[in-house]
Amino acid sequence: MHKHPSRRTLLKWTGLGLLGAGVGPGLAWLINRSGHHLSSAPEPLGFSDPVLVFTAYEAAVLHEVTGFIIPTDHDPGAKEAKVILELDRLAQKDDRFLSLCRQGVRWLDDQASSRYDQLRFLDLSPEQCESILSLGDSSERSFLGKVWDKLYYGHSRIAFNFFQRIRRLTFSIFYSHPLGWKVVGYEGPPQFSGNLDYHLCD
Amino acid sequence: MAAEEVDVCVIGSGAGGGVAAYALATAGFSIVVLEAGPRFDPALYALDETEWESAAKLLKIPAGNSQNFTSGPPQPLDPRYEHLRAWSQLGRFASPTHRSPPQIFRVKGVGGCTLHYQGEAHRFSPHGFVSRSELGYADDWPIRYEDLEPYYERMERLLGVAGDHRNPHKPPRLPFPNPPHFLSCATQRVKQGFDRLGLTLWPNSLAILSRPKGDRPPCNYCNGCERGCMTGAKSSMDVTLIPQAEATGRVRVISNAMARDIPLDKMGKAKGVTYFDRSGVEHFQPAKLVVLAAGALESPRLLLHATSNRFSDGLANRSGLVGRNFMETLVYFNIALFEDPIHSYKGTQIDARCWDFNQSDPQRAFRGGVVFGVSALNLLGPLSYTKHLVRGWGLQHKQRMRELFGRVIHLFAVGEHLPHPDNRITLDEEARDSFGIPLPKVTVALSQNELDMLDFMRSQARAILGAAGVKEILGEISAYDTDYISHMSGTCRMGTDPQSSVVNEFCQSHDVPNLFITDASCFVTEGGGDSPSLTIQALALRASDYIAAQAKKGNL
Repeated sequence: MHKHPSRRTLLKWTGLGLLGAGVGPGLAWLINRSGHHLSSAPEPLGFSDPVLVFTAYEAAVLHEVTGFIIPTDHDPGAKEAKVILELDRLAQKDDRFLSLCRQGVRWLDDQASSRYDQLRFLDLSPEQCESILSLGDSSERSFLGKVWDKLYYGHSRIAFNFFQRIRRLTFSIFYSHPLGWKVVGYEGPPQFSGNLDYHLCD
Repeated sequence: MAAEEVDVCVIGSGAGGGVAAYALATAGFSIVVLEAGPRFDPALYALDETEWESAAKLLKIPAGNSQNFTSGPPQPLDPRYEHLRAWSQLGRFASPTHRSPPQIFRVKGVGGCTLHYQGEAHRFSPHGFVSRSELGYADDWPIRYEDLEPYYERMERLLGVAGDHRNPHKPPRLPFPNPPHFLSCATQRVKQGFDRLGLTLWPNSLAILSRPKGDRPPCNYCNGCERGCMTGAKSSMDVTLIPQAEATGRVRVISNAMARDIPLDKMGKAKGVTYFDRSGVEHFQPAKLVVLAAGALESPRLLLHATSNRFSDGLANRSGLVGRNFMETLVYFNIALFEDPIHSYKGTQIDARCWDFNQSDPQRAFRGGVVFGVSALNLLGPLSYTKHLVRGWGLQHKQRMRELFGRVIHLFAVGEHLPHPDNRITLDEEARDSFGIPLPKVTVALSQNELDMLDFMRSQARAILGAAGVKEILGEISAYDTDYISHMSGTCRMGTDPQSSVVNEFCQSHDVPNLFITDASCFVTEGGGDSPSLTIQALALRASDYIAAQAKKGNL
């Protein structure tokens, strides 16, 4: 049976249409505006392994983000474990992930601009970077905010989705790496050496 | 081309089916085993890889995540037991108003749930068989401990069970085939709490080798039992009795074979099994006798689906009890942090148990038994800590990981879920699998008895941990609001009266004489919180002896 759309649905789609019509030209300008970051001078990571799909700039930003997630202290962090190289490998196989990273970097730069009047996330102080990244801790986003994220970045809730994905992957990569094991005092995979000292306490 | 008739078609290759195939093959029968899942390759379990904890690796391991079922309406929570709600430092994760739908941890694959079980090999205590007549609750089994004892002993030898025969809470017995494993450092630490309260934390009896057996090495204490044992030290069916059965030359295991029906001949006897192969092509395997051992969820599903003029309510279901009296796992977990490094990820999964409360006690507020245990469970590598305990990011996250890793242990309890006919498996005609077979629907609720039991588990666990000097409790999970099921039983219960049971004391259908059910379906009670595998295996061994004896007499 055909169902007539409700008044609420009609209003929602009318609003979306108007938003799209009004935002469309502005969107093109904004995308062009933010595109300049992709061609900014690369920040060399100094790794012997090449980054293949991310631009040098994207790789530098993502490298920094992983460093905020697991920082270096008296023990190595995500940067020393070169988590960015694994992210790059994943992005080689997953276009959607590549897009999420790319738009996430754009979102970070946009935040740097709108909140701190800086062109690039990389130009911010550590406190400012952390303040922006912490926005990705919350899944709450208004309806219009989600629409905006989808239209502009291609991903709804860009802050949350980008940061949570990078955080989860950073954990997964770092704690599967000997440097990550060193931080917590883990000896490595269960097999095949096992734990023959299992019954001995320190 | 029609398949050649065999003596026995066994449905399922886990604890019940694997043992039946082995025992009947060594008795000279020709056998086809139909296994719904694949044959896993232990070399692919990835426990030796740096990324062994990553999600991608879960695809090739028997991780027990088959959720192909539906569930009945969720039970509203009883607010009087609000304190039993699951919590962790990461927040609440269950509904505040209703019990969560069940999650059932099981494996479809050659070896069945033994692929991911933790190797516990418990004999039920004698009181577990006579709870009605001696303790006044639930129902009696048609057999006694003494009937099963020789089969327990045979199974322990076949599996190479390790344990300490001096356990004061179990009947006197001969030494186990293998010496007990040492208690892990973590368990020794928790044991201090048991000791201070006058409770006995005893080395667990485990079907995990403490000495070499044939070409199988002893355990090297990687603690990865639940992901499948790479070395073969755990006596799962795929590395023990199934290869031995196949070596007789009389057993053929067909993997990815989903049984659909057990057709009957004109005399009302099973004439074989209809099954689908992986590509959905239907086959018929003729057999003189059928052993159904698909587990307490799938066995009643198959019977209820196999309707005919003779059995309009499901095969072998004249009693109307197929699917009824479903018993789940009544569990409570306390996630406990200790100050000192206790290397909690090292050892076997459950190396110790406390049987002090295994027997029902009229002084307590509930009927039924409870067994406590210590385990790392899923907290093995550092990545598991980030998933379950330590979120956040930055230096705070890193420091918390240092504080927690290797210092967190689960003190848990398993209680006896009493049988109730309204807790049951039915068919969900609205939901079907890829073969068009209706999915099993689990309808289960807890009574006040179970809630009181959970309350007891919680208070005891907190007391034990307090006495052990726990630094911090990081969370608690109980069956009150979260329904994690790994042990299931009761859905084709055994008994002497065909009106009130599905199979007899030899697991033989009252209604179809050449149909036997050798899995936890035929349990009457849950043995006071003990793990079911060894009892399933002992029952299957006993049923196989009976089949061989009756066949020799021409009675089947």
